[in-house]
Amino acid sequence: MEKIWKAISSLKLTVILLGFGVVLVFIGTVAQADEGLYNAQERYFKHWFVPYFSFFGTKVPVPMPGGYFLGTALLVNLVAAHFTRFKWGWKKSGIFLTHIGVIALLVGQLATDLLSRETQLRFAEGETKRYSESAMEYELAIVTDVDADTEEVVSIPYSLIKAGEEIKHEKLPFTLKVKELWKNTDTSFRAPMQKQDKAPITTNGVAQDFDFIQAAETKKMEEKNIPTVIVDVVAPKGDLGTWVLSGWSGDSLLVESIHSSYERSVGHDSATRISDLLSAPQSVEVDGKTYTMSMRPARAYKPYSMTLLKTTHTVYPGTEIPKDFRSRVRIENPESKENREVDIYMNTPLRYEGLTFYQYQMGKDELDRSRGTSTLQVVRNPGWLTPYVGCALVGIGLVVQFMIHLVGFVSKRRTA
Amino acid sequence: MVKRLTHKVWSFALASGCLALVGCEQESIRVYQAPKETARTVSGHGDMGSAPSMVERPAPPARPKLTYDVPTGWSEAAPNQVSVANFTIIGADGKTANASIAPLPPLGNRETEVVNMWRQQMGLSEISPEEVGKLLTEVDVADTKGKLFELAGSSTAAEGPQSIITVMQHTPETSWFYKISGDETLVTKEKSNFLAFIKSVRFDRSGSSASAPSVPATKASGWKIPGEWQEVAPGAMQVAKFQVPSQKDATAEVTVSVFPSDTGGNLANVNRWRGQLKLNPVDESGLGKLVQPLDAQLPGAILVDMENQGDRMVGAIVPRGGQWYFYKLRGGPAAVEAQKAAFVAFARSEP
Repeated sequence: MEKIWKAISSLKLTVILLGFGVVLVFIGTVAQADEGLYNAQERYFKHWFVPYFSFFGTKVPVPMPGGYFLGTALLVNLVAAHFTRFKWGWKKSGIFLTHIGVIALLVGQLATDLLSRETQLRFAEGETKRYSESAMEYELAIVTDVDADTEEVVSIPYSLIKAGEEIKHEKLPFTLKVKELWKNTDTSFRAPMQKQDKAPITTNGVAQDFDFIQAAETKKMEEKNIPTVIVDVVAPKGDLGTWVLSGWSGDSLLVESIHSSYERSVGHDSATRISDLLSAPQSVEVDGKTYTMSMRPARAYKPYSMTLLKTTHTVYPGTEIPKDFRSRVRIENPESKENREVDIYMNTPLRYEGLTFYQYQMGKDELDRSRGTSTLQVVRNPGWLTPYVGCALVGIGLVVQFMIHLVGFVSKRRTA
Repeated sequence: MVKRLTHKVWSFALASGCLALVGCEQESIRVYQAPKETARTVSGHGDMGSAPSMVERPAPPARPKLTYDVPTGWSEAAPNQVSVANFTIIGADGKTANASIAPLPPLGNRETEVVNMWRQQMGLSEISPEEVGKLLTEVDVADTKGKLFELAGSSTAAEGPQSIITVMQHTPETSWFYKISGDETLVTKEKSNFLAFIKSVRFDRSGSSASAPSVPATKASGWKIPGEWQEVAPGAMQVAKFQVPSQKDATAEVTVSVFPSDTGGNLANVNRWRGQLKLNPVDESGLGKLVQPLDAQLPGAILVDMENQGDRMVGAIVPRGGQWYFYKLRGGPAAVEAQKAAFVAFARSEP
């Protein structure tokens, strides 16, 4: 036991862990070329172990400790070493502060990694939103009316959907049997002028007018996977049919992109008809209640609303270099009786109710080109202060330790 | 010894804390209530970006009823959101082909894009407008002429060589697309049947669906129709048509169409009319000089008078009761001039 404890608190272990850390960062960075940024981050830095790694296109079957393992091990090693070797005294207060700072950085980074969440809030001028949406993650949402103003949502994260399994919930009067689950899909309109050699996947809902085809998973940074799930809806009183629920239908940005794409070839009216068919709701009725199903970007609701009042987008004359990206937003919070207007612009985010709203993108409404749109990056990071505190403690600790030595050295010289 | 133990407990607690923190990340099904939102389809103007929870699947648009002779071996299938007629053809070897008729908004000035879109579907590269022009051949369709093009290629959705024959028939209000596609051998074999089929097509306005714009019969309507105008059978997408008296061998006719939207606005429609007269399109400022208000009592109603090479058109666009009325008096300049005042009174009158 004593040997194990010695090993845990040894400086050799610190060096070995730091060495592995350097290797992991190098390999994880190189692997981004093969596996994509998000996949590489997830697999190398957000896991305890990495069973194999990619190196310039070659799969190397050598297991490695993952980011979680190295971070936790370093933390334990640091704390153990600190308590084993450190003997408190004012002369070592700088080292103490520095160690506390490093611990704050390690714990803070882990907390940030696990608790932070980035979503996006996209709205057009005059529009009010109460939620932001994930840019990458989807959810299967089943929505039913509660009353004239409220709806109840059963939100099933994409990660919980498995092909061949069933989805049941006490709030749902039916079972969803997952026939197919495709992480990434392409879609095409079943226009009469196009080829229709295959029967539709199902004769319910959007599948009547659109084909959905499984596509290879994309790992490119500028692309995202658009999932599609094919489910059998089975109620106690009978089968409610097969339905295709796709991100293509539930993601308004994708619907607009389909509209833009068709508008170029068949004109606005036909493109509008096509995109309306794509985004039309798909519902089943059970015991007099209507349940609308969609695969949509995962949402994060807020207890307040934000209305985009005005967008300002100016560039330096004669260039495309942005001079001012600015969103004038009204916040209405019924709980705090707050109703105020704020400007969110480059490098000046809004910090509100534990969230930070950064000005992210600007554009034009696909429907009404006279209306500007704005996208805010919404970041929830409960540990956002820890890097500042950690770095400050490390800095102060080093200065204090240096000063203690300096004062001691000068005093000795004077005495001599 | 106690001190050592405390250190171990501290380290163990930290490691456990990290593990617990990582374990907290598990996702689960959430149930929550949220304010109901007004959905927005691309055609709607509700809450942008919301899930389309409040709108219904769009109903098929109003379409004229068609009559046609179905070739032997073709079996009729149900029309869908876009097409008004669908047919399945099964060859002797089990290979299949499909034929359909689909009305789309006017695409007469987008033939290159249309052809290239379908070339793309067949895995073929895009071609220039000149090459598209060479590809198109004139054929008889319904009671008029259409433009035919043929494409052959491969498709990821089907095995073996595929072929598609398309005929476009443009009217001022609608572009009709007649298509046969499928196995190349079968399509080639059925080409003559297809050409006979499209020639047999007739538009039956009385068979329009109930959701078509409600326009009263001309005789019972409040329209001020001059007695000398002779009502004749309207063409496709028209609700009324009149032959007006000729003047010095110059003939002219009046047509009326009604749509539930402005079909692109005044500029697009006036430029479409200018195209019919072989005049160059105008921009917004040019439009302002070209049009005049039809009547102070009819806000938004415009009148335009254009002529080119002995072909004159007086047109009026009148928004009325949520619908858009398109009136045209077109023909020889003398005949049009003689009827212009009556035409303006007709367009001003409440149907």
